[in-house]
Amino acid sequence: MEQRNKRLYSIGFIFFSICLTILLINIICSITHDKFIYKTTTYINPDLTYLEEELDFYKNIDDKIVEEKENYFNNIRRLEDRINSGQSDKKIAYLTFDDGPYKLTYTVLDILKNNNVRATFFVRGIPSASDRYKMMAEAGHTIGNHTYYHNIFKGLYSSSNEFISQVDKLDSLIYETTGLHTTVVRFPGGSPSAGSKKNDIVNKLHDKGYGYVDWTCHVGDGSDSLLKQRSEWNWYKSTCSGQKIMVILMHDYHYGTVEILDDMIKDLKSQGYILLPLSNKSLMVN
Amino acid sequence: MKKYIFAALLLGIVIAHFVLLNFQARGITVNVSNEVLVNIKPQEDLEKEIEQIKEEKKDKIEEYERIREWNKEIRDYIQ
Repeated sequence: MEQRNKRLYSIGFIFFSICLTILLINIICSITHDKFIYKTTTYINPDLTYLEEELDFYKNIDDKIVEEKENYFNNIRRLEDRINSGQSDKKIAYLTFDDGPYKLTYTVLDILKNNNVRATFFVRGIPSASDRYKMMAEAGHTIGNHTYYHNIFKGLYSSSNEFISQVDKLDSLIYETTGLHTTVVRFPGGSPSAGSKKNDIVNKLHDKGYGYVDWTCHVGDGSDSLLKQRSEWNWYKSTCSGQKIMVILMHDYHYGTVEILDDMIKDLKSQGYILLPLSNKSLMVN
Repeated sequence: MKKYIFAALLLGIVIAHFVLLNFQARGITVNVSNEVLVNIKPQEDLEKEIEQIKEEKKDKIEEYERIREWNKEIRDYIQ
């Protein structure tokens, strides 16, 4: 009987010694693994792959935003193509505001926000207006390049290099402020203002990945002489009609424009127009 | 006697194996061999990390959702 007990004790002792040794080895290895492990493999439980994918998505959210914006502008282009080929009866209006930002730009941004509409602002270089550049970008409006100084009669069109240097200078300011590059240019005064320099400028813009756009209708707010003939509303009604895709020229320094803007948006919507921001993928951008 | 030692050894290995599994489930790094290290991230850690990053990138996520919504709108017009 004693002998049997002794045997049982020794078996128990051996058994616990083995367990304890293995356990200790593993604990030591876990704590000090960096010192002697050559290669690390991360294993994800297959049941948790969806969580890992979700985590990756949030980690790369900036890239996803860029990707989604690309898709957005590609889809607008697809819609334009369908409209042009007669496959769609939709209509598009691109609201564009030149020469800002001004103080009135805040009001314009508010009106656009209240109507859930995105537009395009062809801005100049005004470092003190960085808050408005940011507001435009955050609201999803396109910030277009209208050259830094907009000095039509003071050297802007003296050479293509002068024009391009102002486009670059403004793009740097916008990028520093919003993290976005400009991709669409509007010539101050319209592309014919560049005269004989136009082709050279356009080639250089294309080399840099820019497109340029003029306009297909306006509200007459670019000159006092036009407004003596008709009101902003009447210019809008007479020039912006019957077009399937139109680019409307306005200025966000002009009170009369801001006064009619809300009614104009509602009028366009009632006619079936979809109001969208421009990109260099648009058919309207050359 | 040898029989018992062998049985005890086997039992010891089985128990140690369960101890290892327990470590893995807790996300503790386990040295499996001299060359390969297996590291299992537990579900709670992943969920915590997701919540944290969602909070940090809240504005960006909202921006993404907005653009997605606009995109959906355009796709609806195309169809």
